[in-house]
Amino acid sequence: MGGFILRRLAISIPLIIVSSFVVFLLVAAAGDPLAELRGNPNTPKSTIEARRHQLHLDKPVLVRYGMWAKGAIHGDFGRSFVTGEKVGPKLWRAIGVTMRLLAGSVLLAVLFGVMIGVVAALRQYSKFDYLATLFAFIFFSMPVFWLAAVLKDVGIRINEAVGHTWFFTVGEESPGLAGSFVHVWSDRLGHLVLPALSLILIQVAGWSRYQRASMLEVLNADYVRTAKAKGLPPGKVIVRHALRNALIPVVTLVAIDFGLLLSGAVITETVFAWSGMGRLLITGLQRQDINVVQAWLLVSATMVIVFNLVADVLYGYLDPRIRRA
Amino acid sequence: MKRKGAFVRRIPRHLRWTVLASVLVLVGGAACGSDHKKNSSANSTSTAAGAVKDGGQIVFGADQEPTGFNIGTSKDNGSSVAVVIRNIWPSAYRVRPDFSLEPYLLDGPATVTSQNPFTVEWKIKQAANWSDGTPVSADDFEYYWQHCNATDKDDDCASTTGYDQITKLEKVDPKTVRTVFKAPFSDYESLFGNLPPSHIAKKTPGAAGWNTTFNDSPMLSAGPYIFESWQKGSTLTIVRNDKWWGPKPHLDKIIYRFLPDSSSQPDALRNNEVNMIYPQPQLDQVNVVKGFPGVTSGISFGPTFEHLTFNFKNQFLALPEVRQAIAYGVDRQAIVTTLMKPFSDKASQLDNRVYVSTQKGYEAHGQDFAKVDVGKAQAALEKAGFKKGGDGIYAKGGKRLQLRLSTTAGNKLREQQGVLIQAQLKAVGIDIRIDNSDNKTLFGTRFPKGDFDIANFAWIGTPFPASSARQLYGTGSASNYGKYTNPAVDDLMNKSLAEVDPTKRTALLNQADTTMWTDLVNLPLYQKPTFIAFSDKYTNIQDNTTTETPFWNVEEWGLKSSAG
Repeated sequence: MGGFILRRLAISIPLIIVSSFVVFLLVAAAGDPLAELRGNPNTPKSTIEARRHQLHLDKPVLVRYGMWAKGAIHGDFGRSFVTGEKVGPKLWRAIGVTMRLLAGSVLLAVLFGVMIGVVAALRQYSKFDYLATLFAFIFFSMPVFWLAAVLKDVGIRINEAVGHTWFFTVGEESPGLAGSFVHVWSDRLGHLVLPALSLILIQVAGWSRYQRASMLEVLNADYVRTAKAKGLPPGKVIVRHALRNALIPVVTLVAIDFGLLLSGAVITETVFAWSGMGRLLITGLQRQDINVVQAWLLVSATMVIVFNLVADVLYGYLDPRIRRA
Repeated sequence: MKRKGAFVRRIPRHLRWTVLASVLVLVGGAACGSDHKKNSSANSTSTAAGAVKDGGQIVFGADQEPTGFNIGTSKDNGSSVAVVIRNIWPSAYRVRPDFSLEPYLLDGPATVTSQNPFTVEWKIKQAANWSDGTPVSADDFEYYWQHCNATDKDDDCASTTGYDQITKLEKVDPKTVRTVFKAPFSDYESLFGNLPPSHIAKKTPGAAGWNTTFNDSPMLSAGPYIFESWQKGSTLTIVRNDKWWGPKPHLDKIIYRFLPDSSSQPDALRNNEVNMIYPQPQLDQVNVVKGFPGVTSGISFGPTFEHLTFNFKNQFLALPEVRQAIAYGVDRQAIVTTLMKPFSDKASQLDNRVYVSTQKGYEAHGQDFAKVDVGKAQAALEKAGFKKGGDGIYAKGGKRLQLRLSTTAGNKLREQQGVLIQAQLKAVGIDIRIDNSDNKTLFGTRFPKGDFDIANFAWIGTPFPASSARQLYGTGSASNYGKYTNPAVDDLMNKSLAEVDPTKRTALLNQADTTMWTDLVNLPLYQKPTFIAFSDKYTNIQDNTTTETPFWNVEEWGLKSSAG
């Protein structure tokens, strides 16, 4: 297993280098960080030239990429073109925010996705199964920005009806939040509910379908029939023999999805104004802040690779045949 | 006759739940998307001055996070910084919503003490102190000038205009400054805005002190509010500066909440998560916010104006008759009706390129071209020797009258504008080819190199039109992309820069504008709207479309006495 992990990591390094280079070229070609200055007749040419020089925009793209890569290898992601702030702290801050949004959401989504999928499979063609199917199709096909907008509207209507702000539509917490532990965490929870719900509903929709399909396949397998024929209690058959095997594809999927979500639930974060990885990318792109975009890419690519690896390892853990192979 | 319930019975039993749930979801969805209740608020940009109580806070939903705080640098010269720093660092003058000026940090207007050499004396308020007790002094004026007079290329200065004309700055006493100019500079009141505390900046010598000292904090205040904290990516808070020399501000605290996705701002306002927003107006949002109960909102027309600039180096556009044909052929009123009237009935075409319509001194000089007149347009072309071809397009010397119209690609409003203009000029017999580029290419390469025929973009009007006009329309100026030149206009603009009497200066500039309507250096279209919305709990908030931003009278803002 150790060798397998090392091999996978070795393959991913050139992948990261190539992707960072391509993105650098794309962002560099996408726009001009000094466009606003150039459009302002009051800005002296000398100032624009000085800024170009300061941001190394007067150097060829390849040289600029080399400078960035050299810094990145040493853990220095450079400074934001726009604010002059070091990119490192910005990035870690954004990861923290995204993690706060994702940790609970993914856990709940997995829990509900698996539960709904399993029950739907066990009671195939029942009312529950049809309802679960309908739920899954609706939320699976629903654009997240629209779902977020609907959830916001519902949340505000509830607030208006009760005359108290239970649900918040922007940010991670109220400005200047202070007070008792209960007050602070109830405020944070109020901010978390709607964005988390928009993530959970969509993820549950997808994962429950995978779980249902996988469970159905396993329930019809010979070894499950054998287990039943041996007279094992139904609970034991389902949990130990069926569910464990049926979890394999879902666990893999969840691990890969989690890696992708860590790169930023871009739309959810944008709509709910969470200053996480998604918003970091969007504002970085809007302002042509190449160092920010590059740092985001590096972290995101690493996350995707690591969680793909985690998926492979988990697969091996759940299915001993893979380990032996 | 179909029996009631027959449809339901035709559905297989195992599918009925699915159908019922679908219907419920659709009904629920429709309910969620239904119209909001109509509010009772007036659609105005200001609240009448009422009884104000002291205390409380306001949360402002800001489009962008500040990039730093020294707004005098090009790095920080944006509205995201302006809405914060104008409450903290003092300016010699304050610009009111009608573009008029009033001394702010100064103890009375700055005085011109000599015409030759042109000398201006500035007296700083005796009571003006920084929040650490250090007086705001001539040192602060000197420091600003030293870093914006274009003598050190390492200084990052957003605008050197005016400062580069000062040959000598004398500190007569700690509270009096005397500036001597190379040549008369009537827009001297534009100088010394948002002065940073020099005694703090000087701790880092040279350009670095100016460029970087205030990246993370404005450090000190000599304004109504003082910086308290900046939670990056989330909020910035300023609190009342009890050491300010002016009247005591009513609100204890102002919080800037960063909501870069402007679509999230209306919901945040409705849900009381922010109390005020000032986004780039988008029609659907404006209409939604107007329906919020307990919210006052309004559209104003700001200093930014759209126009068509003509390239005088183009063989066709060099002919005044072609420019006239375009001015007669472009239906400015139709453009305003299509693109701006949906925002406000008050939208109108702009008939002056030096003053905007909300500015004192505005005179409408474009009346000759107020209404589209295809006949006059074609007559002008025929007078210049053009003949209409079989395809309906005029030609001269075997060359079709084909012109490129260039604007910023991806800007929906301008793209729509381009299509309208193309159709309008086709009716005249002018073939317009849309030739858009991104911002970088347009302003970085094409406009400076003159690689365009007709350019559609925006300029920003200022309370200091003399220096602005010379920059935009003066012979040889880098911003004069169309390479327009008229010595008579240059002369009028130079005279206006030397004229300290505001009435005479306005007359000179309006004379220059009248001449430029004859020359048709460009064709002004309309002013762009601004949009402000705030909770009815607050009073004394009034939009100010200049660089002062709506925060121009922040010390007067407060909660209404009746607010809970």
